[in-house]
Amino acid sequence: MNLYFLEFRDPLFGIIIFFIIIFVITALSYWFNKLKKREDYKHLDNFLKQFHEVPSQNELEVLVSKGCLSEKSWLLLANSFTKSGNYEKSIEIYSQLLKVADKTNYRDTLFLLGKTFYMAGFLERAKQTFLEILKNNPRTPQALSYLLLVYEQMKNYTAALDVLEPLSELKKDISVEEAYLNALIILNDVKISSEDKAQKLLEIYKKTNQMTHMIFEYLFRVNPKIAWENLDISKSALIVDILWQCDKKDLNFDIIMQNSFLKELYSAKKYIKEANGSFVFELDLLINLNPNTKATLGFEYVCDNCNQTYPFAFHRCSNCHAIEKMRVELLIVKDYHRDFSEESNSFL
Amino acid sequence: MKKVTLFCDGSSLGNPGAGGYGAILRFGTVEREISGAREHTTNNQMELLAVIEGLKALKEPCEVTIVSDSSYVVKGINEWLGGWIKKDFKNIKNPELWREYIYVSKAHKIGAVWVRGHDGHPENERCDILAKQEALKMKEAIK
Ligand SMILES: [Zn+2]
Repeated sequence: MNLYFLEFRDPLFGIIIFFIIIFVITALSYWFNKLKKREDYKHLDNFLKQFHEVPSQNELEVLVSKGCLSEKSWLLLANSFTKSGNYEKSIEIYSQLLKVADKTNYRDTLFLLGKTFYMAGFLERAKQTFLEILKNNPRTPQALSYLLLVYEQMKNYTAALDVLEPLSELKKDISVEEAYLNALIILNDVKISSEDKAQKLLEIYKKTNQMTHMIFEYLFRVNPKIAWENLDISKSALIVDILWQCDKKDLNFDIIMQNSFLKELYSAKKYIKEANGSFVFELDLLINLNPNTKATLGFEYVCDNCNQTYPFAFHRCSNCHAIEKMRVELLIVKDYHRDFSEESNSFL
Repeated sequence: MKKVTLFCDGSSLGNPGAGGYGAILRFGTVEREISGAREHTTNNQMELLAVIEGLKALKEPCEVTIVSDSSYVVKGINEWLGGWIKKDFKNIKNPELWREYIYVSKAHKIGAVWVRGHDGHPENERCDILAKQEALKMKEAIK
C-alpha cells in the first residue's frame, strides 16, 4: 500500500499520465477529423449530384427563391458549363433563370444565353436573342457586336454592315470591320468575275490600307501580276507566307531585286542567289544551309490582340474576335515535298 | 506537332452538278471555316476537296484528325490509299484529286474518323450548311 502511494506521488508517474492524456486527445481528434471529412465528402457528393442533371423549372424556381443556391451561383455554374463546352446545360440553366429569376439581371442573362447559342452554333436562335435585347435596349454594344458576329457566320454580310451604324453611334471605331465586311461581300459574290473582284478588292486596299493579307491572298491566287504591281513592299512581312508560296513563274524580279527582304526570302527559297545571309534567323539558316538538307519554311499565326497561336491563317481571331491583328511567324520545318513520293501516312 | 481536327463535308446538286465544300479547322478552342464551289462535280469529289482545301490551309506540320460523314473519304484515307498507290490508281475514280490529297497531306500525320451524317454533330452540320450554301450559290451563278 505504501509502495503504491509512493509510486503515485512519483513525478515519473505524472509524466506518464500526461503523455497518456495527450495521446488520447490526439487519437480522438484524429478520428473526429476523419469522420468529419467523410461527412464533408458525403455532403459534397450530394451537392455535386444535383448538377449531373439540371433541375426542372419548378425545382430551379424553388432552389432560386429559397436561396439555397443564389442566382449568381447558377450563373457561375452555367458559365463553367459553357467553358467546358457543355452548351446544352448552360443554355438550359439560362433559359430557366430567365423564366424564374429576379428581373434585374434579365438583360444580362439574355445576353449570356445569346452568346452561348452563338458558341454552340445555333445561329438563328442567337440572332433572335440579340434582337430581343436590342428591341428594348437598342444601344447595347455587346449585343450589337455579337449580332454582327452572328450575321457574319450566317454569311449575311449586308446585315452585318447594317449593325455597324448603331455601333459607330456608340463611338466605336468601325473602319476595320467595315473594310473587312466589304471585302467579304466582294469575295463571296458569285456574280462578279475574278478580274472585277480583284479591282474592287484593290479599291478597298487603297482606300483603307487594311485587310492586306486577306486581299493579297486572293490577288496572288487569281492574278499575281496585279498583286505584285499593287503591293506596298514595306508590308512584305505581313504576307510572307503568301509570297513564299508564290510560283517561281509568277515572281516579279524587278520588284524583288529592289528589296532586301524579298531578295533574302527568295534566296532562302533557292529561286535566286542574291543574298549571302539575313538578319531574319530562319531565312539566314535556309540561305546558308546545305542544298541537300530537307528543310523549308513553315508558318505560325499569332493574334497580336490576345496572343493566341494558330497553325492556319485567320482574318478574324476566333478567340478575341479582333480583325487585322494577325502576325505571321516563321518556322523551320522538314521539307516533306523535297523528294516527293506517294505513300500513305495514316496514323489510324 | 499541333493537334488539329478537320471537319469536312461536300455536296453536289444533281450529283453530278454544281457542288460545294465546307471545312472547319479546329485547333484547341480556335477555328477557321473554309468553303468553296465547283461548277460540275460529284459528291465524292467535293467530300475529298473539302479535305484537300482544309489541309492546304495548314502552314506547319500537324497531327490532323479528319472527321467526315463520307465513308469514301474515310476508308480511302485509312484503308484503300496504300493499295491504290501500288496499282498507280488504275481503274480508280478521281485519281488527280487523290494525288493532290497525297501531296497536301505529306507534311502531316493524318487519321480519318467517320461520323454518321445529320446525327447531331454540330461541326458536321455546319460544314453541311457551308457546302450546300456554296453549291446553291454556284448553281445560281451558272444559270
Ligand atoms: Zn485574338
